[in-house]
Amino acid sequence: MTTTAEASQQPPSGERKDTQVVAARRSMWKAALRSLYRSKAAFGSAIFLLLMIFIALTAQWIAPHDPQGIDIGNRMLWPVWSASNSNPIYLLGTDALGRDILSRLIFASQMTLVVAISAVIVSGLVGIFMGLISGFFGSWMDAVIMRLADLQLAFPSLLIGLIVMALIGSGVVELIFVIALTQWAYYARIVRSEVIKVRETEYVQASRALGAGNMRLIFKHVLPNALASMLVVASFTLAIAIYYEASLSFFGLGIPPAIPTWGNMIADARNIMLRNWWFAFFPGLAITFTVLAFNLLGDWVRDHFDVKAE
Amino acid sequence: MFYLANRLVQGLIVILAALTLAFLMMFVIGDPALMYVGPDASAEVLEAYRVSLGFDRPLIVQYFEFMRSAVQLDFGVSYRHRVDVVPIIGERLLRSAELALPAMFLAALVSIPVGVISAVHRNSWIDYVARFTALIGQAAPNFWVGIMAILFFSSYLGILPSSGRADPGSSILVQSRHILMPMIILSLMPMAYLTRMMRSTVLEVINEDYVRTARAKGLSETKVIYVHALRNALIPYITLYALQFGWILAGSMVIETVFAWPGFGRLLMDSIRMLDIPVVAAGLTTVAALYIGLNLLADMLYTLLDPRVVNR
Repeated sequence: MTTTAEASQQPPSGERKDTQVVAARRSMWKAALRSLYRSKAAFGSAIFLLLMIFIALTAQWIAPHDPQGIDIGNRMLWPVWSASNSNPIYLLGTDALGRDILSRLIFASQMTLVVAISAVIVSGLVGIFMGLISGFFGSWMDAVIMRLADLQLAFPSLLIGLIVMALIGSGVVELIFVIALTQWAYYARIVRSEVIKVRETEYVQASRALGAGNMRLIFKHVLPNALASMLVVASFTLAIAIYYEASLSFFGLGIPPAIPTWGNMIADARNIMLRNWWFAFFPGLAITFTVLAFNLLGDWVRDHFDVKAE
Repeated sequence: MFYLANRLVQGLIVILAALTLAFLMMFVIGDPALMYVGPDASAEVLEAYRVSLGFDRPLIVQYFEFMRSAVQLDFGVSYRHRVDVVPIIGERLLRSAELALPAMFLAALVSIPVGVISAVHRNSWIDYVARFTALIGQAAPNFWVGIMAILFFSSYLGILPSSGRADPGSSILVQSRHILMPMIILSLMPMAYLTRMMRSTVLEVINEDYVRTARAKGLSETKVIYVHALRNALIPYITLYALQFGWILAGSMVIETVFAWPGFGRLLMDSIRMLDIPVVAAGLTTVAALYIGLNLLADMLYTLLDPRVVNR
């Protein structure tokens, strides 16, 4: 009697466990969202970044002018609120070739986000892969990978970026590769230490005894546990990527000058601005606020998930 | 002791790796002999140069030759300046120090009091202003801040020179007018970072038992903060401060280029852009050595200042 009762109860209780896990996970994200909403700085940053993404996605519809459209008759126009502005269709004025600054800013956000997001994905994937190899296989592979990481962290990353870009030449893919090159080591270290930590725990040894393979271990235990730390690094990588894109482009070693990016716009302005402060002012402001937003979001992720600084 | 030796060996490995990278760089960009003679030289001249500079020998021989001279601090002749690399680097490092040392001093001078006040008056308007300013200081690209400052102070107000270093014979006043703007802008990033650091360490320390004890003893609040709390908060601060010198290296590449300051950073930046590999090689090695030295110094300071830490 009791056995059949138990047997009949088995499936529902198993099901309930699954729904409990799902519910727990959902409430974790809910709690995160609620805490994000309560943190003024982080919430503001999130809204700002969502707006940025929206602007980048809809650039061709919302930009008032062609970003490459040269209008020689309206060169170096002042921003619209200045008394010196003579043609109010150009809100933030025009550059030395009469191109609309606002439209260039809007289009430049596309390249900025493409570079930043790709750099995070590439560096994250490379770092996770290296960290897993390092943690699982240990011995000489671990030693080689970790020494590589040390070596790369022993130089200012901007210096590495400049040298590699000078050697391989400027370009979008090259830039993404270079930023990833200077950032992968952080992810690798996080994942490696998580693998080593998790490998020795009893629940993982138990699951191994039950026949769970490496893949299950990686996706069920290692990566979920490393997620919070990696999110922190990722948000700072986004900020750094934007910063590097701008710096390298400014020095002529980033995105080719023909493509409008915030860094390129400041570089364009460098020789001719004298009193035309708005050529460089607005792109710099865009960089500052975007980097600030990613930094604030990173701070919030760190505090919320209680990730210890390394 | 073992720990220190271990770190030194690791440092040497990094420097050797930097040298190897520098050597490889020479061949990635193409024929190094061509870099000396220029693209217009005839084939015979090029060949003669190749032989005289030893580029006709097997790579492995050249590699060991390169490493041997590098260890003796001989990095050859600059492609661009046609003079020995090492003396130029030494001279330029001194020029950079004229900006970097006062910049780091200024960073400490501002970040320590502001960080402490910000932490003590947590969530007051002073705290908010300080934190917001520090966040902006960390986010604003330094080359842009530099350009905007030149525009405002040199082009618009006309009160400070826009670039370059004053004639060494000129008066202290003229020289410091040239130093002022790049120096302040160079200090902004470490200043912002160190201020945030100082604030968070003081906040941590304030809740420690020894601070509560000091308070319970009936010490004045000033004494509690400035003697008991600050002294302990300074331990992590000083190590991070040493590490920020490393950041200044990268910062001075940018700032010296924007302000046309004839220092090490600008030399490195120009050499990278012109692919003047002997200078880049020597510069890279210098940076690696400085970085390792600073890291080591930071570690040693930490052990020295905090008796609880014992290095294995």
